[in-house]
Amino acid sequence: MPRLRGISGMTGATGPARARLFRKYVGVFSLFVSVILIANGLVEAVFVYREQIVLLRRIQVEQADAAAAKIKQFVADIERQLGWTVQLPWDAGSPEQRRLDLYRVMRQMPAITQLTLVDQDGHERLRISNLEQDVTDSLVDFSRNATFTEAVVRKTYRGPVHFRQESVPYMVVARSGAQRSSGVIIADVNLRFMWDVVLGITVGETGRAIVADEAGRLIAAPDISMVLRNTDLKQLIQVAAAKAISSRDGAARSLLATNVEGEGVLSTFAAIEPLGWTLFVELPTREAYAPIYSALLRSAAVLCIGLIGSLLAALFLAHRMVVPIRALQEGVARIGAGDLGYKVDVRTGDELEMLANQFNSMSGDLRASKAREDRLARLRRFLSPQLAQVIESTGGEKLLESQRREISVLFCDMRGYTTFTEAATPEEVMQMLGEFHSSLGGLIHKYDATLERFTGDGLMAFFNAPLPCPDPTDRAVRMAVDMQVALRQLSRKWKDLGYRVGFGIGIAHGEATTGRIGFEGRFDYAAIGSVVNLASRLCNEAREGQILIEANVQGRVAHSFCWESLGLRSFKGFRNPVAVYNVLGFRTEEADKPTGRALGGT
Amino acid sequence: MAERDYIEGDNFVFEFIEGTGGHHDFRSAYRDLASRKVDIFLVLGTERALRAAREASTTIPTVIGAIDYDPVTHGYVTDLARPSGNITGVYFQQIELTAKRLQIFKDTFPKMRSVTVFWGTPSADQWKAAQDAAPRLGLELVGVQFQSQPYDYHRTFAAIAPEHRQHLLVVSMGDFFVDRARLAQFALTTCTRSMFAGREWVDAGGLLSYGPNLSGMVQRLAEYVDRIARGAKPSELPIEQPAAFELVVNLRTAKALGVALPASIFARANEVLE
Repeated sequence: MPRLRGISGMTGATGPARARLFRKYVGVFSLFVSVILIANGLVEAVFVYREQIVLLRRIQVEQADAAAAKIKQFVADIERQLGWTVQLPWDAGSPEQRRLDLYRVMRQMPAITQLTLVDQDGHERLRISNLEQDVTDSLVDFSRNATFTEAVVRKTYRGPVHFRQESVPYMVVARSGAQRSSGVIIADVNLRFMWDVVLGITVGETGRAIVADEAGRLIAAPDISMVLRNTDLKQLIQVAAAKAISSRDGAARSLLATNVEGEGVLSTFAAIEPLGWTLFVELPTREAYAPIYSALLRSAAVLCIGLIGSLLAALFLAHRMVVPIRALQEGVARIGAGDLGYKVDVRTGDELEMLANQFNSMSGDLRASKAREDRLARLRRFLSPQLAQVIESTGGEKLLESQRREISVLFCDMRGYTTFTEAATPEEVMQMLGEFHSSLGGLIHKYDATLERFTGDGLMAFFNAPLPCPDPTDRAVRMAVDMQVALRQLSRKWKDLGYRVGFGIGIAHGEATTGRIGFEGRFDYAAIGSVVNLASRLCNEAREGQILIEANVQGRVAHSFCWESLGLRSFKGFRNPVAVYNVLGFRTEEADKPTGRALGGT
Repeated sequence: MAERDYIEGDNFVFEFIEGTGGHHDFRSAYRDLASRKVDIFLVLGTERALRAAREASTTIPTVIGAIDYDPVTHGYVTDLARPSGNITGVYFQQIELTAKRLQIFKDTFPKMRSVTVFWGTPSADQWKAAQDAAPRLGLELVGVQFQSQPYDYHRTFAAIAPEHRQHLLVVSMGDFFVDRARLAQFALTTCTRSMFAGREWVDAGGLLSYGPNLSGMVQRLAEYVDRIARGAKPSELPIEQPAAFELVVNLRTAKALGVALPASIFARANEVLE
C-alpha cells in the first residue's frame, strides 16, 4: 500500500509539473515574440503616421494651391473677357457692334447673367441679360455708384458676394477700358458656375474642395445644395485659422478640423487673391488615416500570427519535452511498482532519448539484479547463506535440477511433543519451537546441510546435494551429535518449566533423487528415495537422546565416532531387517570427549 | 436614375399613372399613388399636378419640376434656399423666360409686329407674361388656347387672320413637348417662323428656341430623388433654378423658310444646327 500511494503521488505530481513547463514555455515564447512584434508595430505605426501626415499635408497644400489657382482663373477669365469689350473708345464702334460683343461674351461666359455697359459719364447705355429684357440707352446714372467709380479708379472692381433670393451666390465684376472714354462694363456673375470648377478638383477618394467668401459664407462646393442653402462657415476653426494665418506658411495651412457636416477632416486652405476668398481642401480623417489604420492592422495581424506561431512552437516544444518526461515518469512509477520489464520508449534523438536509454539499461540491470536476488532467496530457503552465495555466484540453477546421487539423510524430532502441546499454552509452544528451530538452524548453517523442511517438532536435512561434499555421512553424524548437545540444554530448561521433552535422530545414507519440486512461486528442494524413508524410520525408532544410524552410515563413520550396535530391526516398508547402531559420540582425540561420554552415558 | 445605381424593379419602382390632363384625373391618380404607399412623389410639370399631389398626401416627400408656375409666389414653399415643408425640386423659370423669348424673337425679326402664341390652361401664367411684355416690344399677340388633346394645330391656326400667322411662339407645356415633332412640322409646312421653349423642338425642326437645358434639369431632379431616398429632408435641399439658358437656331429650317437671320442671333446662339 505505501508503494501504491507513492505511485499515485507521483502521477498526481505530473499534472502541475506539466502545466508549469507549458506555462513557462508558452509564456516565455509569447512574451518574447509579442514584445518584439508590438515594438515593431508601434515603431512602424509611429513612422507611418508621421510620414503620412507630412505627406498628406504637402499634397493637400499643393492641391489647395492648385485649386485656388483654378478659382482665381475662373474670375480672371471673366475679367479678361470683360476687358475685350471696353478696349475701344466709346465713339469708335457702333452700338450694334458693342451689342454683338456683349452677346459673344455672354455666350462664352455662361456664368455672366447680365452685362451692363456704362459710358464714361456714368450713364447706362446697354444692358443685356439672359433672363431679363435687354435695355438700350436707359441712361441710368452710375456715376455715384461704387461699382463705376471703383472700376474707373482701379480698372477692375470686384464686388462682394451676395446671395440672390438668399440662395444663389452672385458677384459683380466691373472693368474699365484702357482709356477713360471706353466706359465701364459691369457683369453680374453667377458664382454657381464655380461648381464645375470644384467638381473638377479631386481630393483623395472622398475629399472635396470648397470655397468661402470673405464673410465666411460657402460659395462653392461639390454639393450645390450646400451653396444654395447659403451655408455659413464662420464658426469652423479652419475658417477662423485661414483669416489668421498667412498663406505662405505652408504647414500651418493644414489642420485637423470638423467640416460643416460635423465630420472630422484634414483641412488645408489657400487664399484666393485678390478676391479675399479662401479655398479649403478637406479630406475626411477616415480616409486620411486609412494608411495608418491599415499599417496598424497589418502590425496587429503580424502580431496575431506571431503569437499563434510562438504559441504553437511553445506547444510543440513543450510537447516534445513533456511527453518523454512523462514517459520517464511513467517508467519510474512502473519500476517503483515492481514492473521491472517496463521499457521507456523515447525517440527524440536528443539528450532525452539518451536519458531514456540509460533509464532502460538501468531497469535492465535492476531486472537482472532482482532475478538474481530471487534465485538467491529461493536457494536460501534450503541452503545456508554462504552456500546459496556460492551457488548463485557459480551460476548454479543447474545444481537444482533433479539428479540421482548418494546422500546422507538426517531426521530429527521431538519426544513428548504431543503431551507438551496439550499441556502448554500456544504462546509457550511457539516460544519453544522458536528456540528449537533457531538452535538447530545455526547448526544446519554450520555444517552446510541442505534443509529440506522443518516439521512442527522436527526437521529433515541432507548432505551431498545439491552441492557435493566429500564427507556427507561424517558431517551428518557430527551435526547430529551437536544437535543432541544443543537440544539437551533446551530440554533442561523446559524441564525446569515442568515440561519433559527429548529428541531422537535418525541418519541413513544411500541413493536418492534430488531436485526441485513444487510450482512457480513455491519451489522446494527435495530428496526422494528409500534412504529418506529409512532415515525417517530410524528417527521414529530413536529414543530420547539417541542418534540411530544404519549400516551404510556406520561403515563410513565407525572410525571417527563411538557407537553401539542395537542389532537388526524390521521397519515398515523394508523387506529385510536393518542393522541399527546408536552413535554415542566423537572418537577422535581432538574430538569432544566429554560429549562422547555424555552421549554414551545416556 | 440608372446612372445613380438605381435599377428599376430592383431597388426602386416607378409607379406611373397616365392622365388625360383633367384636374380630376390628377387627383384620383395621386390618391391612387398615395394609397400604393410610394416613397417619393415626382411631380414634373403643371401646377395642377402638384395641387392634386398635395391633396392626396402632404406627408410624402415631393420633388417638383415646376415648369409653368412659380412655387414661391404660389405659396408651395417659403423660400428657395430652405423650402419649408416637404417639397423641393427645380423651378424652370419659364414665366420669366416667356418675355425673353419674345424679345429674342423680335431681335431676330425686327420687322415682326404680330405673334401668335400657343398656350394651354397649365401655361396660363406664361401667356400672361407674354401679354405683359408685348407692348414694350411693340408686338400684337394672338393667343390660341388649347384645351383638349389631340390638339389640331392646323385647323386652329387656319382660323387666325393671315397677318398674324407669320410668327409663332409656343410656350413651355408638357403637351407641346410631347407634340414637338408635330409642332415643328406644322410650323414648317405653314411657313411659320417659330420660337420654342427648348432645344428639343428645334432638334425636331423648329426654328428658334431659348430656355434651360431640359435634360440637364431632369437629371438634377433625379439627384433630388436620390438624395431624398438616401435620407435627406426636402426642406434641406434648396430649390434650384436653371443658371444657363441656351439659344438654339436651326439653320436648315431657316433656309427652308427662306428667311435671313441677323448677325446678332449668331453672336448669341449657343448652337446653330446646320
